[in-house]
Amino acid sequence: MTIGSTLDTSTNYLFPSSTSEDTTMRFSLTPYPGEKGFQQWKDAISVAIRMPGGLPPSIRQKLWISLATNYIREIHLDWDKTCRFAFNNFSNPDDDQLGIQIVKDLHRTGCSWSSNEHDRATLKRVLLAFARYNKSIGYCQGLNILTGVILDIVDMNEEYALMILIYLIDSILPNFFSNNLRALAIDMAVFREWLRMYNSKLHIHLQKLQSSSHDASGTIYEPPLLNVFTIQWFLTLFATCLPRRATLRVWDALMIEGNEILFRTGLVLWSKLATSVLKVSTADQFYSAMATLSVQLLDEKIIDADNLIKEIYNFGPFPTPMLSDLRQKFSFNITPFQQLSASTTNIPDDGTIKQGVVRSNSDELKLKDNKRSKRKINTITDDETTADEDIANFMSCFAILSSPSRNNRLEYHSNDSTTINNNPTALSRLTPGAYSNLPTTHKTNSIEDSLSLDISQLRQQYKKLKERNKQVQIIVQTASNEQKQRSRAPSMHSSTTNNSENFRRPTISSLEFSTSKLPSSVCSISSGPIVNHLLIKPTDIKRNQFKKTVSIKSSSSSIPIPDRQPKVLQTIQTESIPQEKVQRSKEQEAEEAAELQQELDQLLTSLNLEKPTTSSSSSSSLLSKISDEKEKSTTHETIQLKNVAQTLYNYEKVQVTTNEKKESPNLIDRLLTSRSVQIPKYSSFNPFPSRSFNENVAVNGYKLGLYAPNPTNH
Amino acid sequence: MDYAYVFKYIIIGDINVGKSCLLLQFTDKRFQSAHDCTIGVEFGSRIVNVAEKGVKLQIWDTAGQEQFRSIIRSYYRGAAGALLVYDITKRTTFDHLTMWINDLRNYSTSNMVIVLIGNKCDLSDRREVQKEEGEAFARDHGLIFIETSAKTAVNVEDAFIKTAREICNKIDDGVFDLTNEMCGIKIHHKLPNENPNTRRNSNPNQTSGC
Repeated sequence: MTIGSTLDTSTNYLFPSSTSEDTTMRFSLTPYPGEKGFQQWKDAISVAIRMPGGLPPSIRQKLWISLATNYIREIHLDWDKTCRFAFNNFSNPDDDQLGIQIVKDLHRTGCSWSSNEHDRATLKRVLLAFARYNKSIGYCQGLNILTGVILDIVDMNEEYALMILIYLIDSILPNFFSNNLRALAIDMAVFREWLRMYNSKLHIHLQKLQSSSHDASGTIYEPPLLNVFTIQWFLTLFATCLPRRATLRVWDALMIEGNEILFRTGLVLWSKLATSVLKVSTADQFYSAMATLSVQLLDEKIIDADNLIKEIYNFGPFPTPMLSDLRQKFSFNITPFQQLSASTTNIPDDGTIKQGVVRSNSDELKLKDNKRSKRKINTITDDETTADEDIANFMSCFAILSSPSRNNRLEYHSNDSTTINNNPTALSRLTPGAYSNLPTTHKTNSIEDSLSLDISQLRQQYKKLKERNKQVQIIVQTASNEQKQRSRAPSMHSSTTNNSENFRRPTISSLEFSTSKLPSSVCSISSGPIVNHLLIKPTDIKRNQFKKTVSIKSSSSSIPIPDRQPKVLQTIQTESIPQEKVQRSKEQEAEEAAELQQELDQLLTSLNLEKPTTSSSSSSSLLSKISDEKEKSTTHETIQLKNVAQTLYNYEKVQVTTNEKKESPNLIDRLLTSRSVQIPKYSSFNPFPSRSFNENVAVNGYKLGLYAPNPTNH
Repeated sequence: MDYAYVFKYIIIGDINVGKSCLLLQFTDKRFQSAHDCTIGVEFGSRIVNVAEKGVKLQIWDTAGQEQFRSIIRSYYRGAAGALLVYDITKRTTFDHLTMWINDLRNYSTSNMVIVLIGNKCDLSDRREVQKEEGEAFARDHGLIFIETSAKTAVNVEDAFIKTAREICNKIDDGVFDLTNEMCGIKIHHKLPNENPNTRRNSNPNQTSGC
């Protein structure tokens, strides 16, 4: 064999001398025992895959299986048990939902993939097995394509395919497909940053194309141009953009070297496309050009497999230290999402930062991200809190490439630097999904610097959050009191309604006011110049269509006030009768939640519209009044501190979600209990755990009882 | 073919309702039953004639799966038209329309023209959503409604053209601020020798509507 002749010491590992035995063995390519042996073996393979022509198919199959087996052994997964569980013919509770989607995609797994019904059934079984094994991912489009490739390599052996898929997804691409593609979002930001360093000419050009699409305020609405293609490349691991031969060689490298291969391959490909891309002068032309280029790429006209692999390895030894730094940087930057709502940064017109946690001059990227996140906060409509945060995070990832110094509305309105801090709802006035252009006057310093700064900032932020929490607590409790008052005193209808009427008025006025002067007041998209006609239009959407997403925003709930008024009354009446309360319909609860949300927002506003100092003093007096509330103890939990403001935001959704789960006596009780459940673990979030062990999956595996009590040699 | 405007469209809707097939039918005039699932976002374009003017439609086709929603949301902005698609043979895809509408409200540009499309109308024997329901929903939400079949090409052309016409009407009415590209409309400048290195004029001269 050609490989054997060119390798010296590596040959021993690749092709053990006692061939007569090894060839008959299933795992003839298994590494030598021990960690050192495994590493040596991997190094040898690493040499082999770089050789012209790459690995022969039979070796590839053995390589993939060996790596996967090794991983399964490393995480002490009881493979027989796993297989029995994953491939069982009985239906599991989740299967229907998963199965439906998988079946839909079976016919859509690459045109080149087998059209044989039997093969499709195999593909379905493997995908379903993986979904059962890794419930946090389940099934995500893209997995069908990956599994298709794997099945081709392992000659349609389901167990091997599952094993390799587990290795690939859990170990090589941890968190890539889970959590609304969060890790992918981070990696897109990292990729753009790396491209900036690797091919600055292309980067600048793309940025120019992107930023040519902006509105009067300089807000870019064009998503980063690379994303459309790079996201697909990463999610299908190049299976859809490269010819199969090249794909498999990239995958060989990926299996050995880890997910850094994705970045290197992406960078090489973009650089090869750069010649053509640099010729286009608009985003429109770029996308049109890319249609042609994609075809050329698939026909191996842009780069052939050997050169691609060569260039991938020309980056230097693995891992490139910068990658983990960048990932940390970006995952950190988009992580403290919910903290922002409590303590945010304000940029006065003169560009100096007066207050806020994110003060580092060296880290304007983070600043931008934060802005973006803030902007997203109020536009959340999803059913899940985590999903919302991910959206914001994802959006913030898109921001990295925003164009230089142009002030947008955010800066324009944010000249009041004190009040905004207490009021997360103030962010709602920003148009959702906007791409801001903060002045980029500072160059990012070294990553280490920014990281150490970040930690001290976090500490400061934590202190502030603690203070803030006290205030928020009061707001929640006041609202809770009100809620109780309403339900306990049916005879007080008119007064309560008047009360809420009174509450509303300031909101409306402040809403108008805020567009011109006060950045901190509760306001909405209507404050910006951009108003969707759908929002202004007095649509008579049936309430029950809002089962899950209630009325979304404080702003949208505050607009159709006159229409809502009778309904409010009705709600209160119903609520006051205990018998009916049990039978309350979801619509009413949703309405109630919206009402409460509105009031909470208003409370927040009223606190903020006064001087912050007085608000905190009045808060403490209020606090003493209601200190016997049992919620108090719950709200003191550390993690919740960070989430209070965010939770207020998601209040209505939380409300509805909780209602669906369980009826509990008090709205606030429900809010608080659900809050402790829905807290995302951002503080300890590590998107890229060590390759050998994926915590999430391990936990999952333990739950499922898939782990052997003692490490077994598999 | 020459064109005066570029309109940005986005196609959204539940998974497997036929978004990509609609696009393929419109751009390539063909139907592919085994279409690969869309990962993230895909792109297509075609120049059409609307009110005697050439309009280039720049269409973003999106993935319908929940996981991709955060990705596709960033494409809502800067789109002048949205094709919201459901499958007349799948009730759930119709039930999710409210969610999509809300999403559009929250993330899209103002004045976006939205067309509600009940796709797969060739499968009328398996119909689960009546045409009247679609019409009612569209009326309630101020959308244009049309039933199409990406397979037989029924109304596909119409759906795209109607949207374009509506956008043109809005341009004529002065609803769109054409100096602001955020509305998803660009005025195309015909340069005799388009030099790729020339930056596009940032303040295009206003022309009359279509």
